[in-house]
Amino acid sequence: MVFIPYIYGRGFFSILCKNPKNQGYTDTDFLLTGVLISIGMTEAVHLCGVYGGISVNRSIQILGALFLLTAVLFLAVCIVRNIKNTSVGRQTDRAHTAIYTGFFATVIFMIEFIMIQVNDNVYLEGDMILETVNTFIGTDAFYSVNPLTGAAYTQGIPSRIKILCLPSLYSFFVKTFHINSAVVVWRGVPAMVFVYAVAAYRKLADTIFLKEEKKRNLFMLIVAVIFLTGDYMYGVDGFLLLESGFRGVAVRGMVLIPYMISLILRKKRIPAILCIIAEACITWTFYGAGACLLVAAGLMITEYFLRKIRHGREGA
Amino acid sequence: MSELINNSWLGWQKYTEAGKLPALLLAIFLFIFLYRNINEDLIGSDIVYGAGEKILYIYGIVMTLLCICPVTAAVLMLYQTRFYNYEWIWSYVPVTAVIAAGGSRILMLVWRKRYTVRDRVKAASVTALIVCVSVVCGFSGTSLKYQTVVSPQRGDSGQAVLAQYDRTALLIAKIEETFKTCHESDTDGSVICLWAPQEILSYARQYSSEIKLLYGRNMWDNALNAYSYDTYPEEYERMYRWMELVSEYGEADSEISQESIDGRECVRNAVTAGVNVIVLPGNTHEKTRLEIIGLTGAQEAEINGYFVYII
Repeated sequence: MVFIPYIYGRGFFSILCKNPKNQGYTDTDFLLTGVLISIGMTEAVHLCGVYGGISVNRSIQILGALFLLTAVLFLAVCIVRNIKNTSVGRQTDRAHTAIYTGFFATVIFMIEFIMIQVNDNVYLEGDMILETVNTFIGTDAFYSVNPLTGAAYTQGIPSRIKILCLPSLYSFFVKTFHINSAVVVWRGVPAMVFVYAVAAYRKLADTIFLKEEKKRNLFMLIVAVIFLTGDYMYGVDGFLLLESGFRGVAVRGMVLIPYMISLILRKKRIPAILCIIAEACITWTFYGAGACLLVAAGLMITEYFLRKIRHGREGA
Repeated sequence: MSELINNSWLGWQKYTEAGKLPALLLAIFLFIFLYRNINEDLIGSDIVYGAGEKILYIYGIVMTLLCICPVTAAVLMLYQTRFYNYEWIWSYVPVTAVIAAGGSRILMLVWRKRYTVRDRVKAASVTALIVCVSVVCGFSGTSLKYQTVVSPQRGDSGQAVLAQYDRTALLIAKIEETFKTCHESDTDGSVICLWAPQEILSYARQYSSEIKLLYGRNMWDNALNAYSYDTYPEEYERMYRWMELVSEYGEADSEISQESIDGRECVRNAVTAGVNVIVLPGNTHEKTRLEIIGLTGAQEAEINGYFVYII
């Protein structure tokens, strides 16, 4: 859940640059980029299964082998590169306030995590992931029958839906760990997404308030409160996280977008591109151009105009 | 396009009716606007925005305006495809991030001076007020939350999805047992094809992919129809309505229901389509149950408060 994506991310950045930590990448970057890489690998295997006629069981085996091999490979890359933990060292001002706010934020996040595990609410409107996972495993084939009825398709299914890889990833968890599919989809995955979401917002806090630990912790405290109080309507962050964390839109809204904002603000364009691609793999976007692309473009345009204005003022 | 603009305007009203986080977002923008030109020496370094923070706020303000204005909101809705409703264009606005960044600014401002008891009381009061505002802005919509949730069972607020899943799982496990006993002589490995009330069908395929259904959740959850080009024949829709009337009134041709559907025709169509297990709710009138026994020749069994007919 955390270690394997972390290895992927660390290995990826080790290949991308000589010393990732000196380039401003942190452990949170490694974790979140590792999640993006995991989505990418799942998508590759899923596409092979859907269009190459490979069975679900075989795809799951291939995916498992791919996950394992990549982990070993990236671990080897990290060792060979001998990455030193030479962090650029963010300046901290650990006052009592920072410790208190950090503590309260952690407590609220823990309450929310428990809520996800004991909550009896799952938002199911417009979602058929669990049926799809069951059907994949039951029929050992991708979209051979309609997951909602078990009957063969008469008119077919849009290919933009066919390529979404989350059901394959969840099937992998179900088959590998021999856990009930409902438990994986409704409990396990939302818990994982919650952890990634907190990491993404922490990264955003680090980006916005680079040198101020107090503000970073306050930011996280308010994020924790907004998650809790925002659990009132479909489409709002808190609701996505606490009641439908297994959906692609939840991963997009809670993990990909905040992480991508932090990347764009730090001018780290390559991992930002991974966010845009990952979104296309997990949500039904406008044929590839999704929310991440629009947000990235918006932020870059804003930055461009602000720079122009600043240069104009300096010139004057 | 005019329909889309109208939808975006109605969407904004609905979005702000349920909870008030957009209002909190606008309040944060107001704070940023009011404090944008404050002299750094007067107010302290806490109000100096970093480059990244400034970009976030300006981007947030522009996108918020685009999401509120019906014309631009309609364009954004077109961009995200019509599959998604209005509330999804707010994915483009980092609502949580902006509120958190602005909120931490405000709190830092009030906590900056804590030399005297009066300062501390003032700071604590403002903090408590801000927390209250945050809570009220969110929780005010809690009662409306489940109106948007597809309720699989009438009268169910939608809050007990997992509990209903467990109940359905228990029921289907018992039906499977009974079905196996009835069909133990079959060598063709026949599978259950179920026709049941909505609250059972909602969870049947989530419980097991070995259960086949004539119609699934996309019969009553229109959003799911986007996932397939298939449509249901008219007789399936009549069967669905008949079953729901029976669930609600005990029979489909009562005067209370104000709708009459030929139950015999529905049962015959179901059997022809391959249904081999019919489940009726516990409140079904005896007349309807006897009709089903007469038409299908099946024996009636009562399982977990439902009448089950295995054909």
